[in-house]
Amino acid sequence: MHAMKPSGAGRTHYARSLPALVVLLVLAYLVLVPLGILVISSLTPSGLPFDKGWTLGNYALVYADPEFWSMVWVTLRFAVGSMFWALLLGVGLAWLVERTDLPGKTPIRVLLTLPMAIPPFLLAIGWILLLSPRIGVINVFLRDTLGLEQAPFNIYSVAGMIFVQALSLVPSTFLILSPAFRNMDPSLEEAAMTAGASRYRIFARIFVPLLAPAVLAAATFMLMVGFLVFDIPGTLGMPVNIFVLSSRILYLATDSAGGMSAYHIISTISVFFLVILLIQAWGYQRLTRNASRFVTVTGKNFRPRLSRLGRWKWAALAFVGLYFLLATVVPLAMLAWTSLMPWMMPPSLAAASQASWANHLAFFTDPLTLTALGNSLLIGVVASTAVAAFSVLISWIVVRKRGVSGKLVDFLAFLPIAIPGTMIGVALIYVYLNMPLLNIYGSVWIIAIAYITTYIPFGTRTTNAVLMQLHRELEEAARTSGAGWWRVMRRVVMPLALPAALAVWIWVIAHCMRELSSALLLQGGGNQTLPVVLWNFWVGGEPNKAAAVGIWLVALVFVTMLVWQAAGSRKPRNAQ
Amino acid sequence: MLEVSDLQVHYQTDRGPVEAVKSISLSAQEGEFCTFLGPSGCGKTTTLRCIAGLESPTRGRISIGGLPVYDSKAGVDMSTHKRDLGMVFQSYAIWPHMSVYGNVAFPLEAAGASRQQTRTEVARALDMVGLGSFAERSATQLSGGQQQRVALARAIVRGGKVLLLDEPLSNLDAKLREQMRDELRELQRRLKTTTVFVTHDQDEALAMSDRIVVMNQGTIVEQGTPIDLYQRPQRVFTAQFIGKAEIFACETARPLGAGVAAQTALGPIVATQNTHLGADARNVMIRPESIEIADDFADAANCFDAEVLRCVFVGARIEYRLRLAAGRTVSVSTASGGIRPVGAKVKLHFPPEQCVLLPAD
Repeated sequence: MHAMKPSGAGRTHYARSLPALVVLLVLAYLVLVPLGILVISSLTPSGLPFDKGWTLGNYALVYADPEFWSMVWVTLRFAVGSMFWALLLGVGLAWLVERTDLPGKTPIRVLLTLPMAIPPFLLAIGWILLLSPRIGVINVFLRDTLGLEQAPFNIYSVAGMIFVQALSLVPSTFLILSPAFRNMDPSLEEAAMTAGASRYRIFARIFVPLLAPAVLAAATFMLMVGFLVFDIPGTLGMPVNIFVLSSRILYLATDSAGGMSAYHIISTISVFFLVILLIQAWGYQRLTRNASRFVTVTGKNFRPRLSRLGRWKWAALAFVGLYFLLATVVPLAMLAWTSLMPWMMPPSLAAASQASWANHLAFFTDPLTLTALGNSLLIGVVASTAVAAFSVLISWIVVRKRGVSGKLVDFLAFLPIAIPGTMIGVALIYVYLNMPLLNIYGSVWIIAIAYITTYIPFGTRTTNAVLMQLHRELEEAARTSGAGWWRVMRRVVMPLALPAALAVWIWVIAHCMRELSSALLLQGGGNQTLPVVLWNFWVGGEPNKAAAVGIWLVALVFVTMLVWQAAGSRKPRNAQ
Repeated sequence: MLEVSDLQVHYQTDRGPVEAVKSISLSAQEGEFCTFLGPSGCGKTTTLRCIAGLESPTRGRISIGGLPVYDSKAGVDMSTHKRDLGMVFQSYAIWPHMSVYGNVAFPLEAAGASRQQTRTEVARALDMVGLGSFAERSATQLSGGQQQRVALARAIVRGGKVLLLDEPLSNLDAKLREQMRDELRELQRRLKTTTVFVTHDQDEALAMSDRIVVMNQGTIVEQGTPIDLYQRPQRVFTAQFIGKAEIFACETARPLGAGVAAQTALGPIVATQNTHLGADARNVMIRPESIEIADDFADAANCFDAEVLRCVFVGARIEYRLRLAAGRTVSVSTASGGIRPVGAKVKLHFPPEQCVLLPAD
């Protein structure tokens, strides 16, 4: 044995915590720097973070402004309203599918996830085409046949926003809740029955308390989403000056406010909402963490007790069908119809003779849309690859590293879930407007960075779950076999996390493809994505072109979702 | 070969600090099969993981083959992958995404062996564990016993200086466990690799070890050969943990002929084992299978009246529960033969050469 110079313990410990340190630094750069600069800029007179001087004047200005408080009130009504209706529909559907003898459950499950392929702003556009007071097809039809003075419905309202937002939230609510309904051990109910409890008592004392954590977690998540979304309130509210947080930020940042970007106001508003959103995120994390206290999954194989619907079966099927019609078929059909028309025309046989593929041909020939398609794909591939790889690394640190570094990484990776896309957009403008070395302002890369930050919380939630199930002895066996850190990662951890990374990859690329808010804020000089081009067509008064882009966007997202399904249903090679 | 001195492992939990290993010193000779035996939570696995470098000690020194791999004073803490060892885990930890060949070849790959050398060495290791024809199998298609063999082949393939085995047999069913126990011992004798084996199963420890290190609550209770620890344990804990033991407290002990007469609640018991304890003896221990049952004994010494409370026929043996004077009950295990019914009055004889003196615990 040749004498080996023993390395110092200090150096080795440093080397061992190096991966955690690097990940921590990257996360801090992605998450903390934009947030920090947002806070700083709320305290400068001009609202630009690197300008001289400090002031609290922005806060005085904003809090004294009644418009600010009316925006807060609208945001609150919108968030609570859409959460309430999405939850009501989601709980109902989850119960019907998981706990009753509803026929045709497999196709119904597919039908209930399909609406996810439609970007929310397209759903809103579809509903504008149906329910706008001036051109909405349903409105026009009702007005003409009933001889009304005014259109009966107005989609450009808080109620309209809530209606469309609830429709678009139902699939995620259903997906979050149905495992909780499905995995409830029926013996828990049976035990109550044998203890002599009435049906009502079982519902109140067993069913509700057991499901409460899952429903509460879903509600908190929906509420948070309501506070930070842009798509639907932006599409339906901005034309009539009804603002929520996200749309207000966009409005103030683009020159619609009268030529100047009001960055000082944006930062101040953002700080106010960040506090609210972080509290919600904290609550959500606590709720999902404590949910394991109610372990309803016992690993035993069981069939949940199914309630008999009897004659109500048809009503239930009609309910499911109506939802699918409203959330997918009708708005999509309206979009398809519009995409075939040269200008806005309600569907009729007479109008059908004017139908042409012109708008669709334009989509494939116009350099603008082709560049946007390329941008969207490039951003999607880069961001999803980065998020997938980084999520595996983050989860490895969260799961394997005890102590402060693991907790800190976990916290930082979760934080962006509470940041609205428009806010990330503005923060990145601050960061890269003055960045001398990384001159990416106005390029696709700044959008890619925004998406990486936005989707890390979603990526890590998937990879966390998988890495937690990976027995640590699999890694230790590699280390005792003489493999260093990188070889353990490359040959053992990464191959075993690959199915999860793939799922994350496809999920992120599908979401990058349809994301609108950050891309809108960060657009400039040839980095437009498909949703941005669509939005510009729509806002610029070319709804038929917008509809054609929309149809192809849905097709693109739908195909990635199909791939996801196929990848997910393939049996993963399990770790023992 | 393997030296551990004053090893201590403390760590923080939610419920406060824990001293998993209080202070452990031991050394294993070249080629020795050394077993850490103790109840769960006694620190045996923690000690093993410290030797492997999978866990960080608080202080102490560990050296493998003369090379210090951990020394809190000198600031040495060599990474696991630089320590020259092989390890088999409780869960086997067979990588499901690699073939049997890929699993066994991995340590050679990490060491940068040539393809030709890898092929020969893997074939040799697989032959040794009797899986020569399984190389191309996917690791997930193997039974528990086969996975265990792959794990073993992987641990020995690069000929590390120390082989570490962390309860490798505990996931196997009883029959397979006995078979693997013998194969493992046989393999170790052929390889002559210094081996540390962790188990809570006394039968495994007795059957396989050159030396058993009995551990409890983070310290070494005593160590010795299986025969010594069974027949002449020095501590009450060892007597109770390895095999069954009937223990009688004694107040005084005085020399009597070749042995020592210990004054117990039953009266004097003459013992000839551990007489070096002399007046320090506080207990007398005898194994249930050493106690003799008869209607009467010619010699009255170490004989006691008893009544059969319960008797269980378990095939090869008969297990009795008997009541002695002063309400004390004892277990006696005899070879199969005529059964004494419940309620029968019998005499028990404790042969003095089977009676072991023990200190206070």
